[in-house]
Formats: sequence, structure tokens, C-alpha cells
Amino acid sequence: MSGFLSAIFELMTPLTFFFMVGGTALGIILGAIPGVTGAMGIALLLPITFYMSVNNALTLLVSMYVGGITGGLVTAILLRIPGEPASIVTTFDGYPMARKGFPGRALGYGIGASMFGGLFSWVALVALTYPLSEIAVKLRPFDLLGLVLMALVLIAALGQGSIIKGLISGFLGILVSMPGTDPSTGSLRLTFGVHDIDAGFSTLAVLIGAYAVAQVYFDAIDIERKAEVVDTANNSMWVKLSDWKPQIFNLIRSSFIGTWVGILPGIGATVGSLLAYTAAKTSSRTPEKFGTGIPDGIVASEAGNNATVGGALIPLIAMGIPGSVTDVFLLAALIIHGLQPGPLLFNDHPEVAYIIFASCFVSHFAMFIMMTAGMRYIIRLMTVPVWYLFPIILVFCVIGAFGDNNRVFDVWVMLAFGIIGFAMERTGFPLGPFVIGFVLGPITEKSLRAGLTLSDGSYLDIFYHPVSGITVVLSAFLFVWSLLSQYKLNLRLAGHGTQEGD
Amino acid sequence: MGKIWKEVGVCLAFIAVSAAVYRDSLKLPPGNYDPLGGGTLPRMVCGTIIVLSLAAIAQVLLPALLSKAPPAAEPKPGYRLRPDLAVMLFILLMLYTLSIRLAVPFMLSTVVFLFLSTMVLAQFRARLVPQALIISIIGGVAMAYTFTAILQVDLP
Repeated sequence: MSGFLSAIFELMTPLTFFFMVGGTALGIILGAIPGVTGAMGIALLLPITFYMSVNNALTLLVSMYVGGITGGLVTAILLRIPGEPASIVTTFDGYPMARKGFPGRALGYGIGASMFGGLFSWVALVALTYPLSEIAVKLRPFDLLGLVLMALVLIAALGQGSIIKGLISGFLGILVSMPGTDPSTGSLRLTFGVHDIDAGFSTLAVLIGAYAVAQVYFDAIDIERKAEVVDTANNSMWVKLSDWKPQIFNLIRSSFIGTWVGILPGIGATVGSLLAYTAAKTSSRTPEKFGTGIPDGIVASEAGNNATVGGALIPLIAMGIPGSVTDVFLLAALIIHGLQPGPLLFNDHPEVAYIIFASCFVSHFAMFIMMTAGMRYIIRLMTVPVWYLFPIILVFCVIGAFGDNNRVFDVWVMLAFGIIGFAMERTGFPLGPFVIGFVLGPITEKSLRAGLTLSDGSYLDIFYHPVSGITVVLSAFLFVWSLLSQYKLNLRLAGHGTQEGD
Repeated sequence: MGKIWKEVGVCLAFIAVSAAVYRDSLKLPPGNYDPLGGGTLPRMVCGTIIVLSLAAIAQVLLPALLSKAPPAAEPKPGYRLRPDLAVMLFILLMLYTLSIRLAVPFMLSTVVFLFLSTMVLAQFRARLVPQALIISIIGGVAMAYTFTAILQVDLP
């Protein structure tokens, strides 16, 4: 406790406080810009931290992490373009609510849930770092494979359309992640002689193209839609306490899920928000309302993705294993300053662990104040004429795709996936499973191959262990259950249509 | 083209791509250190996509073939759709990328792209030309400065 309090006092010194506030603000801004993620911002700032003390460096980077994850909800809600991949699920209900004329309310729910989820996971970070990291490190490759499989089935079941189309979309995402260098042997595969994809497709180019560029094309087609006008009278972001009451259980459940997913190495905020959203949808009495702009969806997604921040820091601090992509940069920052994350960190440099705890805690409050105070300016994004906004978004997309590897080829890839994403969405293939499949593809392959190596090529080994066995059986059950539910829904709709016709 | 045929067309495209990748993955050697090798998972994924795409085609076509009633037309929105604007935007984006490829200065190509795409989306309203020009210049210069001088991103 004394260590944490002294870290809080250090955080209140002018320079460290400046880095905390600046990092949070920069994270929010970068998170809110499509194609420029908080992780990219952290990567860009990493060289600057060479010249800082380790405490200031970690304060800056952890604050950016918190700000970036939350900042992603702004464009997810206002433009249906997730500023961060973790905000994809927020678009499902956030954007429809904004389109109904309540962008402020949608943002209010998102910010409040982010704050709650972040602080919930912070409690877990402080309390469970030692014991839970020991459990997480014991997960076998097949366990991770089972979790990924379940995530894919869940995201496919999430869409309002066919689960078959959702699964096709998810497997296409995995397929797109495969060309390039074989992660096990180092040999080239599926490049068709194109050397620019020797290292695979750029993650940012594919994600920005399929999700952001395709959406701009969509909105360009619908540019004459009158519903674009936002009723500014309803733009207050204030959500009454009585409106939060029905969300309490949703908040706790989503934060719990997000925290747990964050603890699992390699599975980050996107899966956290996805699982939290699915849990909220499946346990709801009105699941059909999900995707139409209800608060439950926004709350689940944002509490879920922000809760992964604290969760993902647990394996990083306790074992030196990054819980997400962003944690990789934090790991690098620690190593640059001559520190080795792991159990020894608590023994040798406890102040470093405590400054991470403290900056994670305080930056959530800073994020809340900044997002709340800046809300009126953020909402004005909706009133900016789209003919000014879309070209600027496209330039950001080009910069984001180019900046990943400094190659024009990645911009062409982005353009191609813009067209593919547009065609898919136009014909009812949801893009959520595609981008999630793309992000989880490498983990899927690594887990399967490592698992089979350990089991001497036996797939049955999946069922001999509880985590992998349960997740695989649960995935199969979810798939069959979703198919049957859809079949029943179609029958009911057909019956309803016949009655109306009569 | 009807909605059904668009969906069938996209599914057939997925099958074609998956078949091509499947064929290419057959060239990959079996694994030395792991039981799968580099080609097995791509084949599994391609096979799954092909099976699911066939199921999706059946899901779309069967009700239409079995039903005697003509297929329902796509619901029309209460406003005019502008696919032409999306096409023009796509062409401009391609030209913008090409200009970057040809080493046209980033600031100049960005200002031109911003101005032209703004005018396309604003449907060439003459009264918006001065505004669009000012915003394009400010936007292009500001973005180039922010990313190069502040964020130190290596722009083209």
C-alpha cells in the first residue's frame, strides 16, 4: 500500500503529471483518428522515452494506452469507423444510436462504461497479478485454439444475418492472414510470386481498407440520405443514474469478461469487447434489439475492451508476457530502461510495478474528465458536412496504411480491401468476423501447430484437457444453436408475413 | 442484377479464390518439425470456406427456386442512391495513390485530392468552391506538418 501511495505522490509531481495528462490526451486523439491507433502512437513515442526516467516513460505510455482504447469509441459511435480495432463491437449499437439522433448519449454510455471497465480491471491488476498469471501461463496451445474458435463462432453468431455468412467472413479473415512467411519454417507460402507480400499483408492496410474505406464508399452512396441531420437538442451526454441502474449487472459482467480475456496472453481488447457483447446479447430478454442502437451493447463493448487494459498488464508485469499488441511496446520500454519484467520486477524494482498501477488508475480519471469536457467539440464532428470529413478520413487512411511499413504497396492493398469489404457488406457478409479472423489468424495457426507438435499429431488431445475441450464443445454447441435459432426465426417471420398477406 | 445473384456471385468469387489458394498450398512441402507443415491449415481454411459458400448459395437459392412467388425486390430507400459518387471517389483515391507512387510531393497531392474529392461529394456546387479550396489547403498543409514535424511519420 505504501508503495502504491508513493507512486501516486510521484504521479502528482509536475513533470510526471504532465506526461500522464499529455499521454492520455494524445491517446484519445490518436485513438479517435482512423488508421492512427494508440498502439501506433506508443510505437512512435517509444524512441522519445529513451531520454526520460523509467517512471515518466511508463506513465506516458500507460496513459496513452488507456486514452487510445477509449478514444476509439468516438469515431466508432459517430462514424461507424472504429478508431481502434477494439472498438469494432461498439459500432454495432453505438452508431445506430447516434444515427437515431443521440450521439451524445451513446458517447456518454461509452465513456462511463470505459471508466468503470478500466477501474474494475485495475482492481484485478492490483489484487490478482501473482495468482492469475500463474494460471494463465499454464494454458496450452490447444486451449488458445479453443478460445479463438469460440471467438470466431461468437462473432459469426453476433451478426443479424446468417451465421454461415459470418463464418465465411471469419475464415476469409484467417485466410488473408496466411500469405507470407510461414511462422514455423520461415519459408514463403501463398504469395503467388508477389514479393511485396513476403512478410504478409499489412495489418493496418487490411483493417483500414475493409472497415474504414469500405464504409466511406457506403456513405458516399447514401450521401443524399436526409437522416444524416442530427437533432442537437438530444446531444447531451449526461446519462442519469437511474439509466445506469439497469446496466449495473451488464457493467460488472462485461468488466469481468474483459479483465479475464485481457489476462490471457495474445487475446486482447477486441475479443474482450466481443465476448462481453455476446454475453450481454445472449442473456438479454430482447436480443433482437442488439444492433439497433441500445445502450446495453455500447456498455458491454466499452466496459469489456477497457477492462482488458488492466488485465493485459497482469501477465506483462508478472511474467513478462505481453497480453496485447500495445503491451509489446510497454515491454520494449521496460527492456530499453534495463528492466526485465517478470517476478523479479516486484523484488528488484517494486516502484516500477507501482508506477504502472498508479498511472493506470489516475489516467482513467483523466480520460473521463477529458472526454466529458471535450464532448461538445467531439459531437460537432457529426455536424461537419460529410463532403469535408470523408476526404480527410481517406487521407488519414492512406497515411495509416503507408505508415505501417512505409510502402505504397500497402496503400494499394488498402484500396483492394476497401472494394472487397464493400462487396461483402453489400451482400450481407459481415465485416466484423473478417477483421477479427484476420487479427486472430496467426494465433490460430501458431496454437494449432504447437498443439499438434506437443500431442504427436493427435487432434484428440484437444478433448483431454478441460479448457480446450470445453471451448471446442461450446463452440460446436453455439454454432448448432445459432443455426436452429435462425431457422426458427425465419419460420416465425415467414408465418408472420403470411398472416399479414392474408 | 438481383440481390440473390449478387450474393451467389460473391460466394462463387470466394470459392474461386479459395480453390486457387488451395491449389497453391499443395505445392508446399510437409512439415519437418511439426505434423502440419505450412500448407495444411490454409487447405483446411479453404475447404471450410468452399463448403460454407456452397451452403450459403443453397441457403439463398433454394427458397427462391422452391417458392412459386416471384422473389421480393430489394427495398428502395426514400432517397436517391449515388453509386456514381462512390466510383468517382474510388478513382480519385487510386489517382492519389498513383501520385504518391510517382513521388509527387505529399502536400501537393493531398491538397489536390482533398479539393477534388470534396467537390465530388458536394456534387460540384459552385458556391462551395472557395470553402473547399481553403479547407483543402489548410487540411493538406496541416496534415503534412503534423505527421512529419510532430509525429515524425515518414510520409512519401
